[in-house]
Amino acid sequence: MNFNIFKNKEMAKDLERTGYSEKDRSAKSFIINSSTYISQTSQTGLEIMTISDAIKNVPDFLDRYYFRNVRFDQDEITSRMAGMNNPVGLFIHVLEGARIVLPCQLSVYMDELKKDQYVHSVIVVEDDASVQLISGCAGNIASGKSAHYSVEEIYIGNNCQFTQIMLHNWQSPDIEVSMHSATVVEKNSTYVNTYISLHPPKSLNSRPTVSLNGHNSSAILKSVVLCKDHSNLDIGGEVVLRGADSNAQLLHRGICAGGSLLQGGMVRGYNRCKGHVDCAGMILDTDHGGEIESVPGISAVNSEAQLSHEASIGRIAPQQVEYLMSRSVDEQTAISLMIGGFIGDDIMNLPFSLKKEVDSIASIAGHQEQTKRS
Amino acid sequence: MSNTNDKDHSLLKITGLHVEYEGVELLNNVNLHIPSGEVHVLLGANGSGKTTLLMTIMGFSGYEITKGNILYKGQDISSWSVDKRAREGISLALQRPPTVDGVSLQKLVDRLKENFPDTACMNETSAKKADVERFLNRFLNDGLSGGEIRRSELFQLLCMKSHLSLLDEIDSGVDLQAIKMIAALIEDLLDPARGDHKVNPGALLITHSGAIINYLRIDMAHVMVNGTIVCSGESRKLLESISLYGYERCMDCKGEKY
Repeated sequence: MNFNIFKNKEMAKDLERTGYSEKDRSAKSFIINSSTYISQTSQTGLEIMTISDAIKNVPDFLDRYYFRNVRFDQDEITSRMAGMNNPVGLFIHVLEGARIVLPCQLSVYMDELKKDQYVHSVIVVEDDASVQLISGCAGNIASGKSAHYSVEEIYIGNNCQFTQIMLHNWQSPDIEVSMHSATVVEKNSTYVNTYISLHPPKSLNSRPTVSLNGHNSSAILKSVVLCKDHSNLDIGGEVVLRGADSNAQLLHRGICAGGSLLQGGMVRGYNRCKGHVDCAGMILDTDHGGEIESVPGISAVNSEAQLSHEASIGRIAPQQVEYLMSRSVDEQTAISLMIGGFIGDDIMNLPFSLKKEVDSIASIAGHQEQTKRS
Repeated sequence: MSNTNDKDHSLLKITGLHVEYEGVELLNNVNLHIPSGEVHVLLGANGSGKTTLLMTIMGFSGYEITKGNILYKGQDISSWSVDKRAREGISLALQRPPTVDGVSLQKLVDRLKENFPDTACMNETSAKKADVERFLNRFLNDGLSGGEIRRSELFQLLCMKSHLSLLDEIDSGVDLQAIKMIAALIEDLLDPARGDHKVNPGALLITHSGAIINYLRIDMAHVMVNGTIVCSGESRKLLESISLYGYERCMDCKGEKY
């Protein structure tokens, strides 16, 4: 980096936990409160600019992309954001045929007292391109209410692969987070979105929508969430299967150590297609109680739509923990192993550095349950 | 060298042990001594307290010692957690172990490699011998047959220190050919090379049929009736007597050695 954006060590640490890395990135960008920093390598085929620059300089940007996927009048937040003179956010443009090997990174950070953050990003992946985006959000505010609102519009062309990993790390008890994300996918393209939340905010509302318009298009939306005391999390997602032979999977894994967690998901089949929604929750035995509600849904208007859903809520069985302990494994490690298995490290298919984050969910949750038991 | 120092040559010494489970006394006044390197068999009817004794030695929750003590290598283990007992070399092969969701046998073995570096080099050979390779990547005990469970349990014990192996109904639900294999795995567990300067590995095993006795060197057998050991002696003679007169006969001959 040729500019120093880190105010202090805590900030660097917070961002590292959301996937920030000095090395092995095709491009790095930061939004700190309302300021944007872009540090691009000489990667060809990848263009990143602020959303304000895109509005000014990219022809047809407003007509084709800006509030075209997410409706500006969807709710109060989108209306407010649509009316802003100087919107904050990024335009990430992957040019036709570009195969970007190293992940592109966007780190969002907020630490201003009583000041809400609004981020609007537009991502366009042109035909025959592939890219991975690691986007992380972190907040560290000592006290007082504040909110993080985001709008994300993603356009994926034909024969593309777009993988997105989103990590949240909210270190403040009072932040409210609301995300609006909408994606369209054209033919033969794949969109994979993995959402991981280790340190939840006070409230979270995330219901991304994906429209699989193209023939043979597919989407996988996965989430791994740790819900803690005083958190109220609503994790959903809706995939509309419009293209023939389109395919969608929604996989939610939630661990509840307090607070309330709502896992939802809807798959709508409008064509010959396949879709599956899977919500699995585990309630830990802690002093904080906790609640999980799972509502997977499917609907179809085509006789060749094959859709299914499943949901389960379970707990850590003490006999299983004790059995592992009789194999010399200490109690906390035993619980962590079981939670790790529940999250399903195989389905996550994450880069190594991010696997560590998921492992730490297991050990944080394991510690909470163990503290209660002992 | 003198063998009189009991502390250095005792694997397990149980004195006057009383155990309650959910407020009900299941063991009363159990006395048992297993010297270094010996294999003892526990005989008795269903519900006589054999499994309770093994669970208590392992330290499973719910089994409350109300009187007496258990010394392992001369040390009182009553305050040790289950995992500490396992690390120190006490291990238990369960008759019906639970399925552990999300944890494969392979994943557990990876942990055991870290906890027991001394046995790690043998793990692969043991896996072949116990024929567990087919289900290494399955969740622990998920869908295993009776014989597979026995082999899986013994394989896990071989990956640990296991100086005192507690084997619950190790020959139940297993065909005759598989018993030979199980006996061979137990022999491996008892290999003196696995011991340390103080003790050679030993075992306490529960059997109903006595089938395993034909394939192993057994040093002593004990008969349990109503939560206590009523007589001890040579295993074949005791089994013969039990098959003729039943366990009750042992009550009659209390104290008398065969």
